[in-house]
Amino acid sequence: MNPDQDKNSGAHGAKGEQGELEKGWFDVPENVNKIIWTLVALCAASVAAELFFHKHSPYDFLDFPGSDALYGFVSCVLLVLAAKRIRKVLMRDEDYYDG
Amino acid sequence: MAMLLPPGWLMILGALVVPLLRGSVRQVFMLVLPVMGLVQLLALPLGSSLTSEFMGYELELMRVDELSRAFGVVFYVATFISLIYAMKVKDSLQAASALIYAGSAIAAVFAGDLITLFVCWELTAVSSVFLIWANRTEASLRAGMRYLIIQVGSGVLLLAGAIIHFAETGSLAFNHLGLDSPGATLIFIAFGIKAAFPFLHNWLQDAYPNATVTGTVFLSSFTTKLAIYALARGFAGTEILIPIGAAMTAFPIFYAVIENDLRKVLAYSLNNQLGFMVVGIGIGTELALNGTVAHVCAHVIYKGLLFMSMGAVLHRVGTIKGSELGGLYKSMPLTTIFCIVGAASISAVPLTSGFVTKSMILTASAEGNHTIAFLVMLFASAGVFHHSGIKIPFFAFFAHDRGHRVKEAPLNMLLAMGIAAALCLAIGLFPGVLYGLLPYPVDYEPYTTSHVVSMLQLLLFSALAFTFLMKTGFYPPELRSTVLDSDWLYRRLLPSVRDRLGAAYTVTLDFSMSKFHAGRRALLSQVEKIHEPFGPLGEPWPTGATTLWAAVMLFTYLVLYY
Repeated sequence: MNPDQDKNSGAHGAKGEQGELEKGWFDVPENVNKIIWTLVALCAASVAAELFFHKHSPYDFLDFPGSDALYGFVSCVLLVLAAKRIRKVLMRDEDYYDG
Repeated sequence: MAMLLPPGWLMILGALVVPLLRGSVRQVFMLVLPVMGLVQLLALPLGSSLTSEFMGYELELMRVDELSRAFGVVFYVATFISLIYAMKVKDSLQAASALIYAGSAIAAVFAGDLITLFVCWELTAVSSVFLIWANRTEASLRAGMRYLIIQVGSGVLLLAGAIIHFAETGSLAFNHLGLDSPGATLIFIAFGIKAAFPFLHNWLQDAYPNATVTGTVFLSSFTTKLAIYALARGFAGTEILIPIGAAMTAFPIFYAVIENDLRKVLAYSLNNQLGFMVVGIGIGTELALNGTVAHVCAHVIYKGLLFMSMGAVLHRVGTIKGSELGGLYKSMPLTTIFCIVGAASISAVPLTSGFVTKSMILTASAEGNHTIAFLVMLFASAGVFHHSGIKIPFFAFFAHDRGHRVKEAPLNMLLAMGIAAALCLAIGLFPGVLYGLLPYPVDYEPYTTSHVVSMLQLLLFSALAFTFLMKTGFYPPELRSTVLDSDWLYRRLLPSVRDRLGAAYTVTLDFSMSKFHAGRRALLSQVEKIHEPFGPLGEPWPTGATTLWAAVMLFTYLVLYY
């Protein structure tokens, strides 16, 4: 399985106002849900894999099952929340420098 | 024949012929140049050298060793792919400047002394700015000017540093410098500007998205990687590079999450990838330096691929703003697939090039007990996947269908992207070939069960976090906006200070004119005292100091009046 397929998770299906556009495979909510459930299954499998062998981490404090999973998830949530705060402070109009 | 020319110069000279040629003759001619260059380079034995006497100084125009050869090979490959991508560009100026730019970057890598390096360094700056100006918009004209000032400024610092270094050591050779002398410190700052160190970085995000569709692809390959080469040659094992590099991996990804211009997002992630390389140079062990060089080789290809895919979107749709894009997988399926391969590679997904290179640097940092750098780089790895791995393909090709119905990218662009994508996978599947190019013998196995599972966990759960944030509506939407970065200091703050000073100056001028005549005589007699022979300023100055002051004055003048 290839993690790249997760690119489409969270895609919203075609909205009513786009009625005249032809629908692609990713515009169907059921398909998007399939992708999301596949992703969840892969996540579970990547942690469950550690039942069968010991994953070596270079540091003792990271040497527990699912450490990388936890690190990845928490990193990304913090990254996005921090970026939203930065946006509040640093975002200006698109033509800010064109004055 | 070409054997008499140092690597790179064949392309520089070839560029002069390009404006005389037309149509398919020109296309074939341009594509043959990097192929010939690469053949020549591979034929040169390690240890080859070419020296020349200039004004009594010994210059080494060519030095072929493991480090310069690795960079040379990947630069030639990148040139070839970028030229296929740009085959349809009719603009002679762009075609010629792209060749001179790529050629001078290669020539710089093989320069054995600081003066030759300086000449090539400035030539890359002066030639590459035309790739920005070729866009022919007001914004690109101004961004190009800022880029040129900063790049030439870096070259001036390099020259000043080289002269001081020569005065200190009596040698112009470009080998390990270290940070224990004023000359070397200036050179370090010159390299740092070009490598986009924090706070010196913003020329990159400012200029690259303002270049032409094809120009950005060239730009992404050479300038910053030349700086990485120079740092690896001159400052391997310089500890300060570890925190600098770690900061570089982390801060751009926050910007990448909220930036709307997708080529600018790529510029931020380019900056973040440079951070990994800088950390590797700072650690300075054989594994770390191998990791840096390997990561450069992988990075030039996948970053070029990502810029090519976004360029194709810009070329077809006419915009590259995330807020205006989406649903393009229906119109541009091949571009979508190639983009995803590039996105997977930069994210270090197993079986792609990033996986077999970036991990060497992470392993080296853990082995050297650089715990903080390791944890920051791990955070940055998750973050890269978030914005380059998911955000770029997702917002361009999936997300909301905005109703764009365009043609697939032109055939030559697809071919270039296809070659780059194939290389990304080839390096990931057969790392041994790349490892054979590296400066030191490689004793490293990327595909251990432990390593693969660790990386998959990190990436899968980053994707899960993205999905979770999208579903809950926490993810910041793409908005048309400008996000302020350090360029604000010289684009807003300095001009406003200048204008206020100007106003204050006019007011004080009237007042001071009356005082002026009274003070003039007193001042003149003072000046005579200072400048008479054996007065404080009457003594002969060292050359290095004069150069430095001249550089400072010229630079100040440029910044205030461009």
